[in-house]
Amino acid sequence: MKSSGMIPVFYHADIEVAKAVVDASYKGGVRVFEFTNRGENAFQVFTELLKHVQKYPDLMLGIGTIMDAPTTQKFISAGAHFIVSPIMKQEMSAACQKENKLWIPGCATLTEIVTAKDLGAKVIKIFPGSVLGPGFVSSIMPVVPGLQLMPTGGVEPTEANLSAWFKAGVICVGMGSQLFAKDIIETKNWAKLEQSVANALAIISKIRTK
Amino acid sequence: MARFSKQQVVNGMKEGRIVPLFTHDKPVDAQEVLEAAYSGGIRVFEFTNRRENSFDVFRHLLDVSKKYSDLMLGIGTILDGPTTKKFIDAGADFIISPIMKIEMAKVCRDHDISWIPGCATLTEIVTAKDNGAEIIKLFPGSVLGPGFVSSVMPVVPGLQLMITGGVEPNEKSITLWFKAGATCLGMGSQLFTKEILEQKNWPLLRQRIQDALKLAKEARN
Repeated sequence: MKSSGMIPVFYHADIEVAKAVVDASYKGGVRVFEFTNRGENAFQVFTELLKHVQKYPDLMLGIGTIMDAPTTQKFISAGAHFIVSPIMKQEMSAACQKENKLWIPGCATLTEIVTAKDLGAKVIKIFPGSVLGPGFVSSIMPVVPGLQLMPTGGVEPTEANLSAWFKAGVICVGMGSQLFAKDIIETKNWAKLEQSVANALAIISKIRTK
Repeated sequence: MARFSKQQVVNGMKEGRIVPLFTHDKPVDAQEVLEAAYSGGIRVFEFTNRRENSFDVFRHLLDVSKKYSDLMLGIGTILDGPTTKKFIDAGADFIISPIMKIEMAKVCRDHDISWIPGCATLTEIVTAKDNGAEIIKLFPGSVLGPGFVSSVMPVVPGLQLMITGGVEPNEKSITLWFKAGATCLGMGSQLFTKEILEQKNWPLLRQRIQDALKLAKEARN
């Protein structure tokens, strides 16, 4: 997560579309991908996707939008490499710890963040990023040393937005709808998707070398 | 042992209107800042626990503060119960935290010391109030904004909020926060600018504090 700087966040009910999006993202340089549990057949698509990505030994595929421990356990058993949640739920921490998987809870206040950290979260998701803003991150970073934050929600693949987040001190960003524009998915323009993923990653690496 | 009661601290914050927050790893410089703040009119001062040697510097400041019979000195950036206990034993007059952690409330209650937890939602605020917090810190102020304060004040009567994070020592910022209903304002880097500290310009620091206190007084009247 740290070295790639950007985690795509994506859901689609059609396994073929999901595969194509993961392929294009991988080609664009992504090595950590979050599929989200937002549809009825998400589990099925995710297990198919896990099989599909076996051809990429350096791609980590995790599951997001997980809300409780039983679902955490179910996706870990299926082979999820990490668990992301929009909320900070203690029982999920225990489930991840038992299986030695990374638990990335979603937090919106410093109290939630420190509680998550005390419960063992190494990386903490800031959600919704667009509501809290880079100013939230820069305010809390000096107060609690060693935080590793990933904003998600409203992060834009532009130099202005990404540079505001990284300057504020985040270790990586999660990007969903801003990256996977509707028209790209509808027209199955995978070449364009690969290009926009590569662009976003290039912007991040440029910001970081500054 | 703390030199002041909980009630004295609460009153001191209400009347003082501005609580400076500051950290430094050099005891001498920290002392200069504390004394400049006092001579500028500050009577409640928050030192923050953000450096490795903050405990030692804080103990030095506690010794210094004994010179001033009306100076209350507390510690901020405390994140857990054991650290709370350690600073209370050293003599902190109050405990401030950027988070709302119940175990800290208990330690403070056991020692009859003011617990000022940092909250960012109304749920956290009311939980803090129910656990005995009389003054609650709103953090980060710049992210929540004065609109947050004016929205929650009519909903929960009797809230006493201290705003910290991004409060600026100018008329606009100070007036906005007090109009929204803040009880007092915490001010750190905006007051103790890097320049002032590097140049050790204590007279200028004293002047800035006097100016900020004057604005706060006018804004509340």
